[in-house]
Amino acid sequence: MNDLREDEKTISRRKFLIRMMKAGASITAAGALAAFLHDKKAPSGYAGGEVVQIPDFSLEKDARSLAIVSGENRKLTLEKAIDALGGIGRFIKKGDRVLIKVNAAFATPPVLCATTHPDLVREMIALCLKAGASEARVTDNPINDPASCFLLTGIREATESSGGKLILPKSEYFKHTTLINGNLIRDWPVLYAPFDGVTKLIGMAPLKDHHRSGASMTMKNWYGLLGGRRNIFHQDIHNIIKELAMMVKPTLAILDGTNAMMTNGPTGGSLSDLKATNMLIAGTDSVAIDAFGSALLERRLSDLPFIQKAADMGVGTADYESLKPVRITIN
Amino acid sequence: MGGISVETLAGTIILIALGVIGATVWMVQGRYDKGFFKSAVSQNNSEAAAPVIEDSPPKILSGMEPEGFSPMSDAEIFNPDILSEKINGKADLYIECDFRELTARRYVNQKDPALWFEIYIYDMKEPRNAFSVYSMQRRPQTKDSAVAPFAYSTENALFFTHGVYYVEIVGAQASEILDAALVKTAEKIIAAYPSEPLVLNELSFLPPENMLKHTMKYFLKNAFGFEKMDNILTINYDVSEKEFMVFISERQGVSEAKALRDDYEKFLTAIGGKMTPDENPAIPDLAIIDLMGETEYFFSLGRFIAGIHAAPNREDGDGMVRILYDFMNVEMQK
Repeated sequence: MNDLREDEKTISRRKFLIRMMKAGASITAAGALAAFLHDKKAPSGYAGGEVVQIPDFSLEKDARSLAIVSGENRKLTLEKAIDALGGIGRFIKKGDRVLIKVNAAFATPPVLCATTHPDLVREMIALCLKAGASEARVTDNPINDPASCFLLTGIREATESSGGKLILPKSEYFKHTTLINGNLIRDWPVLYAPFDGVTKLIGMAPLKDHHRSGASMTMKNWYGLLGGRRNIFHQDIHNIIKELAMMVKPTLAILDGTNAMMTNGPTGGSLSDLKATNMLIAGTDSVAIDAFGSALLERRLSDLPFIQKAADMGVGTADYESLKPVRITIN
Repeated sequence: MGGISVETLAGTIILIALGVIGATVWMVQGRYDKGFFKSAVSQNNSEAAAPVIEDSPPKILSGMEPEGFSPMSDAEIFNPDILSEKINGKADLYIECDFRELTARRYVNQKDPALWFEIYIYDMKEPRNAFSVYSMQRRPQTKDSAVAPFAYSTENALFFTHGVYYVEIVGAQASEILDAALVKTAEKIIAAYPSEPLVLNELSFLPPENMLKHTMKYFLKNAFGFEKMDNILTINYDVSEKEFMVFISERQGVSEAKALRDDYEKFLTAIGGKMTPDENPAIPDLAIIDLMGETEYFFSLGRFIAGIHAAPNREDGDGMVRILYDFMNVEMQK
C-alpha cells in the first residue's frame, strides 16, 4: 500500500493526462446532460419587488345576507335583488370608487353566457353611479386578447355607455401578492392597479359548468385576477378557488343564473348548452351564493369540494338557507 | 492518516458534499413553490403571453369564408402549452387526448356585423382522438348534419370531426344566414384539408334498434375507472324507458380481448363486486358482477370485448346482453 501511495505521489505525465481527460469527459458529459434536460420554457425565479395585499372590501359589521330573484329580465332581477338586500345605499356611499370584476374570459357573444352579461354590467354601473359613486371601474384579466374579449362580450360597450371606466390589463398593472396561510398564492402576480383608490368591490359572474372544477361561479370568478402561468393551478383547482375566496373579500357578489351553462363549460359554444334557470342571486356571502348556484346547476355540494373548503376556512356558509334568503319572483 | 491518503479523504468529502447537494435539490424540488416563479413567457400574461398570431394564416383558414363574409381577425394558433389561454379550463380535455394544435379565426357578415362566427380546428393527431373529444362534448337533442359523418348542428353552431381534426364552428347567434354560412364553411374546410377518415369498425357490431346515437362516447383510456380499459366505445340504448350503456372495444386479437375481459373481472371483484351466476348460460364467457346496486355484464367474443356498464336492473340487463351477444355473433359470421 505504501508503494502505491508513493506511486500516486510521483504520478507520471502520461497518467496525469489520462486522468485529466477522464475528468474532462465526465464534466462534458454532465454538462451535456444538463443542457439536454434544461427546460428553456420553464419558469424562472421571481426577482422580488413590492408585495401587495388586496384590501378587505366586505361589510364586516353587516350580517351576511342573500337574495334570490326569479325572472328572465336581468335588469329587473338585479334591481330587485339589490332592493331585497337593503338597497344600493347599503353597499355604495357617496364618493365611493367601485371596482366591478366581471368574467370576460372569452371573446364570445353574450348570448352564449360564457361571460358576464352586458345588461348586468350596465345596470350595476348605473346603480352605483346613482348611489353617488364617483367612479365605477370594470376589469378582468382574460388571457386571450383582452381587447377582443371585452369588445365581443359586449362588456366594453355596456361599460362605456353607462358611464363606467373599462380597465384592460397591462403588464405594469400586476403586482405580487401572498395569501396569509395560503399554500398556492405565494408571491403570485395579481391584477392590482385597478384596485388603486377603490373603496368597494363587486363581483359579477355567470353560472357555468366547468370542465375542471365542476362549476364556475362567484368564487371562481376571482381566478381572473391572477396573472402569471395561472393554468398550473388547474391541477389543484378546488384549493385555488378556496384560496381566492379567502384572498378576495368583496362588498357584494352577483351570480347570474338567468341562463345557466349546464354542460361543456367553461367555454360552451352552443345555445343548447344553456338552460333557462331564470335566477339571479346576490349577497354578501359568496359561499352561500355558490352553494345555491350548485343546485341550479344540478350539482351536489360533494361534486364541488371548493364550496365546503371555503366554508371550512370561514369564508361563508354552504348552508344558504341559514341566511334566510329573501326570495322574490318577477312575473 | 492511518492508511488513508489525502486524495481518498478529499474524494470522499467531495462525494459526500455532492450527495448533500443532490439531496437538498431533491427536497427543494419536492416542495416546489409555484408562487416563487414566473413564466418565461410572461409574468402577467396580458401581453407577451398572447397567442401566437401568424403573419400568414395557415392554409386551412385561408379562403374559408363563405360568400358575403370577411375575416374578422387573424388566425390564431395555440399549442398544448398555451391552449388554456384560448379555452381556459377545457384545455385539459383536449390535452389528455393528445392534442397538437388549435387554429381559430373569426369571420363577419359584410352587411350585418352582429352576424359573425368563429372556426375552431383542433388537430388531435389521430382520428380516434378527434372523435373522443367530439363525443365527450356531444350535445343531446340536436340536428344531424350532412357535412360529415357524425356531424350535428345546434341553434347557433356546427360540430364535426374530419380525420384528425375536431371542428367547431360557432355562430354569435341563432340565424338562418349564419346557419347557411356555417355549412358552407364546413364544406370548404373538408375540401381544403383532406384527411384520413375515421373508421369505427366496432360500431357495426352493435344492434341498431333502440340505439341513442347522440350518447355515443369514445374513451381513449381509463374507461369505467379501470386503467386497462382503453379505446372503449360506449352508447346508450333505450330499454323499457330506461337507458342502458353498452360498450365495445376491438382489440388486437382474440387473446388480448380475453385477457382484458379477465382483468376487468378481477378489477371489479377487487373493488367489492360480487360475481353472480348466469341463470341462463347462453353466452360463453359472460361475467355478471353486481356492484353498488348496479350490474356489469361483459364477455369477450373473438377480438372484441363488449358488455353493459352499470345496468340499473337485472331483468332488462339480462335481455339486453343477450341481444348484444346475438347481434355480434351474427355480424361476425358475415
